Amino acid sequence: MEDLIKELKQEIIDEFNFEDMTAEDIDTEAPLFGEGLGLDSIDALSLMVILEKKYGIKIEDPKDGKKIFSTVRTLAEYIAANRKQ
Amino acid sequence: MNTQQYITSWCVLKDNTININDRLISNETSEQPADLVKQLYRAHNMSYPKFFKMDALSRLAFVCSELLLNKRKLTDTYKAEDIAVILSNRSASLHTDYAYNESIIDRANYFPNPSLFVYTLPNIMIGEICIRNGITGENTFFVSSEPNFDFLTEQVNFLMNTGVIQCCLTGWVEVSAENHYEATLFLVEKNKMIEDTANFYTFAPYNVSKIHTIL
Repeated sequence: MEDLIKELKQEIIDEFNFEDMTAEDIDTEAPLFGEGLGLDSIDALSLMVILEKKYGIKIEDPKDGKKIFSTVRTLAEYIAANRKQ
Repeated sequence: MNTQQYITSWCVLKDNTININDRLISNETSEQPADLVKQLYRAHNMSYPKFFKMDALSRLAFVCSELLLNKRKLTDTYKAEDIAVILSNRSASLHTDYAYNESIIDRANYFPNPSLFVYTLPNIMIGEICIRNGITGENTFFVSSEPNFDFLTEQVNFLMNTGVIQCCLTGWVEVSAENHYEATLFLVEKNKMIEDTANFYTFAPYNVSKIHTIL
């Protein structure tokens, strides 16, 4: 799980061009949206693309996204339980 | 009765050089204008995580607006809905349009990226400035082959003279290639809001053109 968390943090840094950040700068338990990283609804769509492209996961019900994308840890747990690649 | 509008602050960036209110800042360390924009962001502690998510055009507009405002909070002086952002350029968002097109060209690996796609409209840079500064007034984006400051000043002065807005951030922000950046931004305010108008240029086409060509 810790390797997946680190990988996800790097994915987020690369996807959103957080050039001044390292994986260590991202709090595993902190909210991904609003405060902190300042991700927004467009970024949620980008995260959905990452899930599909890299892990073969499609989120069928957008309402599930709020819980899944809550923190890096909830995202990692969801991927670990549902990944197809 | 019309009031006079004044340019109370301005910022001109062309390729690797920047001039803020007649203070020339030459860039000697950055090889590319994109690096200069990032250097300015860091050097002036702009501290806005969304900056790195923006495309080149929005980054340029954002940094120039921050330098021009110099930490001033416009909403301390004006109502959010009385502040406008009206910008123009030649290439719209073509630089990012190309990048987006490149990213979806492989149909076997077709994953359109929303965070890139969102910048395939030039008025997004206006939105970024509005979000940063809490501005909710008029916003418009114009495309013209060359800067048309007669038209732009007429637009802004009309909105101000008719009381639609009280303050406007306006100008030209263009990114047409990796090494061709140009931005000329003006903060325009009415004389009744300014204590000493003697220090400022009037917001007229000849003054706007003069500042635009300073570099």
